[in-house]
Amino acid sequence: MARVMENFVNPPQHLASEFRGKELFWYSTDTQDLYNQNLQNPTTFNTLKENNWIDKTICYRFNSHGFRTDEFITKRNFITLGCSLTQGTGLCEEQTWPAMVSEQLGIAVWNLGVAGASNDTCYRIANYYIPLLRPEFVVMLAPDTQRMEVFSKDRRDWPHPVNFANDRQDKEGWFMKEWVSDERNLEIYSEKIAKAIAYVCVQQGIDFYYYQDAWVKNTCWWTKNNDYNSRARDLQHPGEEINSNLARIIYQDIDNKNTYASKSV
Amino acid sequence: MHQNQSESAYIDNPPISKPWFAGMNYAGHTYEWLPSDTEENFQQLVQNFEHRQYFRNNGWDQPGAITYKINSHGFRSEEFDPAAASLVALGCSHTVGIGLPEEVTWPYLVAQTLELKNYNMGWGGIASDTCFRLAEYWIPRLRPCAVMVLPPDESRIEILTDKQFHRDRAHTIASSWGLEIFKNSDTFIKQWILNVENQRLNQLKNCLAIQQICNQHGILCVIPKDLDQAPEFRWDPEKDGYARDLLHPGPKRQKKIVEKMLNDWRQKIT
Repeated sequence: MARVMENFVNPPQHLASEFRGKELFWYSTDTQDLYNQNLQNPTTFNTLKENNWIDKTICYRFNSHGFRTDEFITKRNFITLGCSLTQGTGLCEEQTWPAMVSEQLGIAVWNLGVAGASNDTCYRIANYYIPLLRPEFVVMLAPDTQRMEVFSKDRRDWPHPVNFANDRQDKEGWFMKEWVSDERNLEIYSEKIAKAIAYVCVQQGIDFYYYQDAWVKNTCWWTKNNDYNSRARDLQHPGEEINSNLARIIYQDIDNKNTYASKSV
Repeated sequence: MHQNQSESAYIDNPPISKPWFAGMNYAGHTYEWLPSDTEENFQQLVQNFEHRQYFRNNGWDQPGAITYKINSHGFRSEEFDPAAASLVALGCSHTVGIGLPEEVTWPYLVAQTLELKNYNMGWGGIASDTCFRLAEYWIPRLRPCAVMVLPPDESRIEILTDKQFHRDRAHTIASSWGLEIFKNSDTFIKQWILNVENQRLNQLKNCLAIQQICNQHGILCVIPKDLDQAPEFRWDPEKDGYARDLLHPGPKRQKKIVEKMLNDWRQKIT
């Protein structure tokens, strides 16, 4: 008999924690203002229309932990980690790749993706929730490596997100400029976090599937290598078709046991 | 001989570049002094009767009593032989044994007990980030029987830079070295240093990542938890003695680390 899981002590805070238990119709980059602006512009109107976003309602339903997923109950499950691509910004829940993989496998997903998350956020969430939720496996779509988070003196329990893509100029000082000036820092940092989460999974005796930032960029975003016009409602995130493609690849990897460990050796 | 040559060629011509660390500046030479164990410091200390007596009791009262033989890869270690059964030890100056003879360092003593070659990959002043970089490169190549890590102070963080105006290619920043060096410089690093949760998480990530590297290669990995917080490991210079530089603990504390490492190792294999 499935029961609601309780007794979560000091769960990690994240960018969507403030929305715990809420239902929103607009969220993050998927704003009503942006949608209305895009309706006025003929080019973006056409893109919205092609992607069936005209007058479509999206419900962002956050559970009591601030994740866009069902309440945690004791049942067979897997966990997904990542940023807006995993949380599904600008998409209905069933259009997101975690929901599609869940549907294909017939196992519940606890989607712990958070819009704006960094690899650091994924690590904090993984380290806390994996031992408690006891998933059968974990899938992570790595966020942009240019993001980090830092706990400051004034924000003891909620780290300040830093995005080097936006904040690399003088205001953040020497360390950040040096950090982004040498890509090895970003590569090593994200690889370290992948390995750390992989070991958290090892400790629980479960598989870990990992898709690094470069692969995600190449697969999900609009590059010269793909012609997708599949867009979420904010027109900034990948749409249903790309999520479907992602779900197919991830499902195949799970089916073939192409785990992080098997790819790394 | 043939085997050694081919393995040596593999180590010297790896498919990806060797991770840089400050020890590479010292590779292939033997030194009588190494920072912070300097001759100038020693000459000052021996002016004091108690120190002189202490050094004499340990056989360190003459220059040359302690040497640092650095292998061709920059470590105070035997030359690497991937075919040999070995222990890889990672850490900072406490692992290198700054101010101590090699024979009293914990990696040497643990390797001797386990009858393994001692590949001491510690280096003074490095961060746990550096340990991860070294582990990521060297563990798959050396395939040691065991990896043991004495994590450096968690207040240290490492940054890599190719900028020419920096002398070194990897820098360690540490809050324990004084916050004044960050004056007018950096919001991020100041924030990072002012909340110890950043430091704790960074240390933990590095340790878990090293454990994962070992796990992938089926290697036993020992990383003692919270060693600094354990009362029996707090350095008491009166009881534990000190190294020749007066800044590091002496042989007694190295022995305590040996006991802890071996104890954790025995628990893991059973």
